[in-house]
Amino acid sequence: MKLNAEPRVEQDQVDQASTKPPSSEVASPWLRLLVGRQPKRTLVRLVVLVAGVFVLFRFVFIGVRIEGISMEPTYHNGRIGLVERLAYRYSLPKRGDVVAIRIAGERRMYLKRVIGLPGERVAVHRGNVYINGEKLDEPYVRAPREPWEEPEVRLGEHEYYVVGDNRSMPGRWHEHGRVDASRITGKLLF
Amino acid sequence: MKRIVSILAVVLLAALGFWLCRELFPSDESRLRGLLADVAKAASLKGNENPLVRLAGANKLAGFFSEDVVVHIDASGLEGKQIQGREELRQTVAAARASLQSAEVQFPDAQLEIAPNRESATAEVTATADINGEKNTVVQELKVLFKKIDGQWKITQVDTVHTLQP
Repeated sequence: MKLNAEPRVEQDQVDQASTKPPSSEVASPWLRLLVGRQPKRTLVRLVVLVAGVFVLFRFVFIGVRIEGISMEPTYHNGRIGLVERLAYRYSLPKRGDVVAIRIAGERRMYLKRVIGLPGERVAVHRGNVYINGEKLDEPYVRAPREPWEEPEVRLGEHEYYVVGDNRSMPGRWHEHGRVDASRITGKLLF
Repeated sequence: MKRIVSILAVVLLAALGFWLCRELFPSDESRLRGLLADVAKAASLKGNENPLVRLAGANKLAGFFSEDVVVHIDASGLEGKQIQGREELRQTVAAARASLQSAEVQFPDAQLEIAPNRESATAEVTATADINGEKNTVVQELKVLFKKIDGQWKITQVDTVHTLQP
């Protein structure tokens, strides 16, 4: 109903324009191109859009640019991604999830894959991960593995074991290990 | 129209006054953030700097720390290293700067907590360093303690924080 009513109003305004342009409409074609026919509506739309984007990127998503090679070949250096903050609000991280881990703040974060869950025993032997003594199948590790060795650790109640997909680099140059759940900021969507 | 111009002028003047006030009388937080920015700048190293400039840079960097500063480093290749005092720190920094080609240090994140008496503060800091133009940026979380000494903020302690525990 409302949609049908509006063009009639516009027609009325067009008819009146032959004598004097209405004060709410933009007369200059260039200005009209910039702010539209109804500047007030354009302003409201702009405010809603800016507020929407602000809320989305403040509370729901974090835009990230991947730096470094520790997640190769799954995620390459320089790739742009999106982290969902609310992913773990009502559920817990699962094995295989790629998560963003807060360091001191959120401007620089680690991007790692969850391989060990709370309460599990995790060990690395000759580059292979063992969970509770059983070898973990990791299809995302495609490059030949360096012979990393990590003694078995039991994860705490709120601890996860995280590591990058690139195991072809020496273990000492590749940040990996236990992380407290409170540091996990969100899940990488793409 | 005149009314709008007057309102705009008042808003502009208020903003200018606020900015001037902050510049002339900075808060402890902005002083500490400024100190961290100065430390990052002094710790950075350009590829074409001559040895004298490098040495001067080490002296400048040491000036941001207290005389009895303690630095605990527990990172890859420097496990369990401790630096005690400003002089030892200056020598260590000078030696490191002599062996490096270039370094760009930044503190992109700093979470500050100032003590109620405003005489000491703690910062959780993310430090990043691009060394010798290598592809992989070094990222390290640090805990930095500050104290106000003779009215000036100085760094009294630096500890490595393991974001990911082995």
